[in-house]
Amino acid sequence: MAKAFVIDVALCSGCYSCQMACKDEHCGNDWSPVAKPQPDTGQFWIKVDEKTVGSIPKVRVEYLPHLCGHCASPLCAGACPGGAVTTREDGFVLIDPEACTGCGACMDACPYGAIFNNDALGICQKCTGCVHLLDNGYPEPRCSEVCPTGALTFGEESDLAELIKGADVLVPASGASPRVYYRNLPGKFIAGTVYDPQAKEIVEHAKALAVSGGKIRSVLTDDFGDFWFDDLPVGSYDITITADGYAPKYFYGVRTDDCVNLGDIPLDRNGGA
Amino acid sequence: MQGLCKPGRNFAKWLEWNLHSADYAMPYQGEAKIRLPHRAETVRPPGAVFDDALIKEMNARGMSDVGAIDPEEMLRRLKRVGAFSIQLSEQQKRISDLVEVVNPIPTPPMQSIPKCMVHEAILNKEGISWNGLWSFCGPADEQWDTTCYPAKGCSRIHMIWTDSPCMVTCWNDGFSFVKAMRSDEIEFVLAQHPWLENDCYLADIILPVQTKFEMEDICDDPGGGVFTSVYHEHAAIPPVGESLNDFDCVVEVAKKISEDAYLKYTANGRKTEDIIDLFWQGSGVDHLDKEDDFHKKDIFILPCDPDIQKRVPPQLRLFAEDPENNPLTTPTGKLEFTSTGIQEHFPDDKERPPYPMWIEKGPCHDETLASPRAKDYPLLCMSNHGRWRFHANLDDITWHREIETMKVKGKDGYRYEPAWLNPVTAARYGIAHGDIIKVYNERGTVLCGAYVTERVVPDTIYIDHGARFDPIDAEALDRGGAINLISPHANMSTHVTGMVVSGYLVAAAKVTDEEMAAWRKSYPDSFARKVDEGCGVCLEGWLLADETAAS
Ligand code: SF4
Ligand code: SF4
Repeated sequence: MAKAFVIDVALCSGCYSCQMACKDEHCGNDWSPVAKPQPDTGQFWIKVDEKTVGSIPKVRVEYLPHLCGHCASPLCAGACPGGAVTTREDGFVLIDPEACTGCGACMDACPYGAIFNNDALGICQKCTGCVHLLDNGYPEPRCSEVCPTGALTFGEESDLAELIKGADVLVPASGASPRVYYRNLPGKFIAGTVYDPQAKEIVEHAKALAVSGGKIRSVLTDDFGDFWFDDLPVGSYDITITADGYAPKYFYGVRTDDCVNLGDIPLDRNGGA
Repeated sequence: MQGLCKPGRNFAKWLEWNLHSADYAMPYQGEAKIRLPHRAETVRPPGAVFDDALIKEMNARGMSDVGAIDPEEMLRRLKRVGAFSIQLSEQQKRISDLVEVVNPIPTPPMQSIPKCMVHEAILNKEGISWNGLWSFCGPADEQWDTTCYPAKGCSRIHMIWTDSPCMVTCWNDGFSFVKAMRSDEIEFVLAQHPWLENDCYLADIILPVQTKFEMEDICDDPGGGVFTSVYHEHAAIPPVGESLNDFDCVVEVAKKISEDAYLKYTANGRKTEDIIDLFWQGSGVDHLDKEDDFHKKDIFILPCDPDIQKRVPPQLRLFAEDPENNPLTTPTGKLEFTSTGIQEHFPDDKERPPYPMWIEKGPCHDETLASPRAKDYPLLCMSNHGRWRFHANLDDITWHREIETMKVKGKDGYRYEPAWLNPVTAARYGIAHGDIIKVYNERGTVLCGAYVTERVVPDTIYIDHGARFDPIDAEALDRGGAINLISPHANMSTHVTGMVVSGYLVAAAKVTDEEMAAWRKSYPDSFARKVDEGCGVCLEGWLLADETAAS
C-alpha cells in the first residue's frame, strides 16, 4: 500500500502553481516531527523546469514538474550514515529532522536532485508528501490539490494502475524505482516549412517521409506548409519531401539528439520550369 | 463578420469586463447592478469652475460628479460619459445618511491631465493641449474636444499628491517623468504607498499606507470575469508600523488643515463600520440578499437567473437579427470598418487613419526596424505585461524572483530584469545567456540580464514593463530594469491621447567590467544601497539610519 504521483506533462501548462503551493505549505511553517520549516528561497521540494526546444519559428516549451520520488529503493536512505532517512508504511520517504546532521550524503546519493541543504538549521530537507496533512484527514498534498489542469494526480499506487501503465520514471537506470510516474514525456521532433520559391507560396499537402532503422513515418504539410514529425526517439533519420509537380528533396542522417527545425525548404519545379 | 452574434458565433471578453461593458461578465447575474458608492468619487471629477446651479441640476439627475468649464459644456460631457460617472441610485438617494457620506462636495476650480501627459504638462512651459480626456476606455467622441493645460482660469501645477504611484515603470518615457517631478515647477510631492518604490523616491513626504491585509473595507468585483459579488474585507493582520489606510492618511492631513475640513471629509467623524454598512445598504443589490449573506458570510454573490436567456437575448443578437431596428452605438448604427467619426473630424490623421492599417512611421512615431533610427538602435523592444508581475505589483515576490524567467542573476549577484534575445541576435552583439547588458536609446539606459532563447525572433528584445526602478542616475541610468523609462513619449496620434509602449527601438550591449567599475566609481551611493537577497530593492537601502535601533 504505497502512495504515488502521476504527472501528465501533456496537461501541464507550466503555471508553477504546484511550486508555489508547496512553498506556501512549508516555507516558514514548522511541521515537526515531519519537517522543519523550509527557508524562504533556494529550496524546491517540487520544481517546475522549463526547456525550450527547436528553433524559431518551430519552437516548443516543455514543462517538467519534478519532486522527490518517494522511491521503493531510496538511495538516500542507504547513503545516510545516521539512519535518519526512513520509509513509512504508505511509502513516503522522510528525513527525520532531529536525527539528520546535515552531512549531505543523501543529497549526493539522490539521482533526482530532490534533497536540499538547510545551512541555518544544519539539516537536509525535501518533499514530505505533505504527510502532516494526509495524517490529519487531508485527501491529498498541496501540490496536486492546486494543479488546475489535472496534470498532477496523487493516490494509492494500485488505484492509479491504469494511469501508470506505460508511464515512465525519470532516470530509470538509477534503480531507485521512484513512485512519481510520468505520462506523455515528449520525444524529439523534426519539423520544417515547404515552399515554392517561384510562386512565393507555401506548398500544402506535400508529403514528408522520415525513415529510421527500417521504420517509416509519413506526414503531410498543413495549411501553413508546415510538417511535424512528433515524438521521435533519439536516432538518425532520412527525410524525403515530395509533392506533385516538384522534384523531391532529401535530408540524410538528421540526428534527433535535440529537436530539429529544418527551416524553410524550397521545392524546385519538375523540369526546372 | 456576417455571422457576428448569430447563433453559435460568440465572442468573449473576460478580465476588466466592467471597463468595456455595462453588463456583467456572468449574464445570469444581470438582475440588478452593483453601484457601490466610493468615497473618493467626489474628489476626482475633471472640469473646472464650480457653479451652484449646475450642481443642483446634476444632483437632480443623480450625478455626483461636479465642476465644469462652463455649465452647458459640462452637462454635455457628463451625459456623454454617463457610464463612467458614479451615479447615486434611487435607492442610495433614499438613504439620507449615505447621501451625506458621498454627497458631492462643492469643489474649487479643477483641471485634469491625461496620465500619459503629466510629464509633458509639467515640462512644457508653453502649456499643452490634446484631444480626448477622461480615460483609455472612454467613449470615442470624447476625442472631438480639445482640452488644454493650464485650463482657463486655472494655475499650473505646484504640488503633487500621488497615491501608489508607478509612473516611472508603468507609463511612457519614465525618465522624462523623473525630470518633471524634479523640475522647479514642482515645489512639493506627497506620496502614499505601502512600499518605498518607484515614484516614491521622488517624493518629499511619503505616507506609509496599509495593504488590504491590514484594513477593513467593502469591495465589489464586477469585472474579474468570475461571479459578481460584494464583500466585506476584514484586516488579516494588525497594521505594520505606523501605516494607516489611504482614507485615514487623508483624514490626518485634513485634521491638520482645519476642524472643518476634517469633519467634511469624514462626514462628521463617522466610523468605518458605520460607513461600510451604509455603503452596503446603498449598493443597489442589498435587497437581493435574502439570506443576509453579506453580514453572515461577509460575501454576497449575486444570485443567478437561470431563465435569463428567455428574457435577455445574447449580446448583439438583436442587431444581428434586425440591424435596422436595433442599431449599434456607432454614428451609423452599423459595424464600422471605417470610422465615420474619425473620417469626419480627422480625415488627414496620418497615424490613426479612419481605416486601421500598418503605418511605417508618422509625425509622432518612428519606431520600426525600417527607420533610419534603427542604425543606432537596431532592436525592436517588445514589452508586455509581466508573466510574474501585475504592472509594478509583485516585482518583489521572493518565490517568483528565484524562477529563471522572472530574474536573471548577474555575475555581481544582483537579480536583473530578463531581456530575451534570440541566439542569433545575442551572438551578433557578443552577448551570452546571463550577461549583464545595457538596453538604451536617446531616452536613457536600463540594465537587464540577458536571457537567450529561441522563444523570440531575431532583431527583437523582449522586456516586460513593471520592474522596480533602481536608479543609478535617476534621470538616465537604471539598474532595476524598468524598461518603460526609455519607452516613447508621444501620444498615439496628434488627435488622441494614449501611450505607445509595446514596441520601440533600442540598442543592446554587454556591460563590460570596466564600464560597471566606472559606474560604481561615479555613483557610489547608488551601488552602496542594500539590495535584499530575496526581494531585491528594499526599504533598508534607502534609510539613512535605522531609527528604531537608535531608540
Ligand atoms: S507533496 Fe507536499 S511537500 Fe511534496 S512537493 Fe507536494 S506540496 Fe511539496
Ligand atoms: S500545477 Fe499542474 S499545470 Fe501547473 S505547473 Fe504544476 S503540474 Fe503543471
